[in-house]
Amino acid sequence: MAGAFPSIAHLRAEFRPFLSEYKSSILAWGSGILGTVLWIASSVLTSTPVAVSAAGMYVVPAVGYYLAYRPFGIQIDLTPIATVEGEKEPDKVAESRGEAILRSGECELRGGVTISERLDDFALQFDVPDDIRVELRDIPCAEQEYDPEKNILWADNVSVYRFSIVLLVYSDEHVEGQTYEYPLKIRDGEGGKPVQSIDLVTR
Amino acid sequence: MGSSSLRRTRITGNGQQFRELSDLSTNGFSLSDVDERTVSGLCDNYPFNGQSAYSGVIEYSEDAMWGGGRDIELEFEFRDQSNLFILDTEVDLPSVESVIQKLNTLSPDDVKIYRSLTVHRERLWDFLNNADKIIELTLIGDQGTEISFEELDSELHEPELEIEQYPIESATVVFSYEGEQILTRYTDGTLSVQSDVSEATEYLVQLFERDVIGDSGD
Repeated sequence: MAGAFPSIAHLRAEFRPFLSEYKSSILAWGSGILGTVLWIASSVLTSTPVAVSAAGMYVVPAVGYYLAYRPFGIQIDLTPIATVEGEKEPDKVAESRGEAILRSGECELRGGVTISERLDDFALQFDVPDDIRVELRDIPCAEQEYDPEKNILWADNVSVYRFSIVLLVYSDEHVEGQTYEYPLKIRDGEGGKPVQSIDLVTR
Repeated sequence: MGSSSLRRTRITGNGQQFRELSDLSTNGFSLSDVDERTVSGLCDNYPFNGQSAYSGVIEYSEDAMWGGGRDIELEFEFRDQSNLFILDTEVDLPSVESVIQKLNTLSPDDVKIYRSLTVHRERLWDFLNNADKIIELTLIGDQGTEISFEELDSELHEPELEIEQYPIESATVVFSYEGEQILTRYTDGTLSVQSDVSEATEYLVQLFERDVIGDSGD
């Protein structure tokens, strides 16, 4: 199971998705131009400190971007479901706000998970505060396992890179008419960095 | 027709914990003393032969929105190897949910009854496919919308996905046991079994334990 600290294999798997995202960022453009200017200046001035600064200008923003926005290689899209006149329908309004409304103390979320084909293993933790409970409806693939106590879905030898999930979030002690917000964080491994966050709102 | 609703539990230690649940009785919610029996297999290759089942009765006063309310009596059973919690009821599903919610609130932290069975999707598919008759089947499509079995051929936009890769929203199927029809419904991640013959219900629960919960041998 992948833990909070990524393994070398995990880092390698993240590299390509990270690179393709980083290359299209403004930060990469800016640091690239500045780094090139410094590099040319270092050869004109034959100055080692400037050359080191030029190298740092390439590397430091890339490392910073990775640490700030990791993990790369796992994408999760979830849509909250509302029951309208007895029919379950996607709640696009709440989704656009990054929210899910817990009506009568509960809400269903449906969606898909896409894993980078370079990942050999993954672990996703569905993390909510103590007042809220979250359950995965079913285990999507034969190769995956699920720990209902820690709410972790994982696979050690990934062969299915895209699958659907259904989550049920609910409160056992909800009070009608009171508004609370709780975060649902889907983490990369137990206690890892959130891949996706959704505000659960009770009404 | 009686209905049995199946849930998954987490109980540390063994089912003796359920014996202590009778101490949890409060105003409007009481549990009888718990009996213990040994489950013997009705179906072939039953993997939980000899497991202990702890059963009792819950009496519950359900409040109504506009006064009154009603008293509900439910038989429950916990199986200590398959970790299934089964509520036998004549009432509708919302009452079952409120009973489970109440049980979870009253129980110590190491006893938990989950809302969803959370079983492997393809094993659930295989179990439902083995039914004698499929009455209704609704799947959840890519965009979170529901697709009925009839719409599948015309609406599936991504033929690379096998049908078994879609989550099941609901399914109603019929099994039979010694001439008795057993109506079985999977919805919202739980399974309910309807039959007037308790042996037929037991048979279906054992099929589910064997084909979906038990070690797949992979």
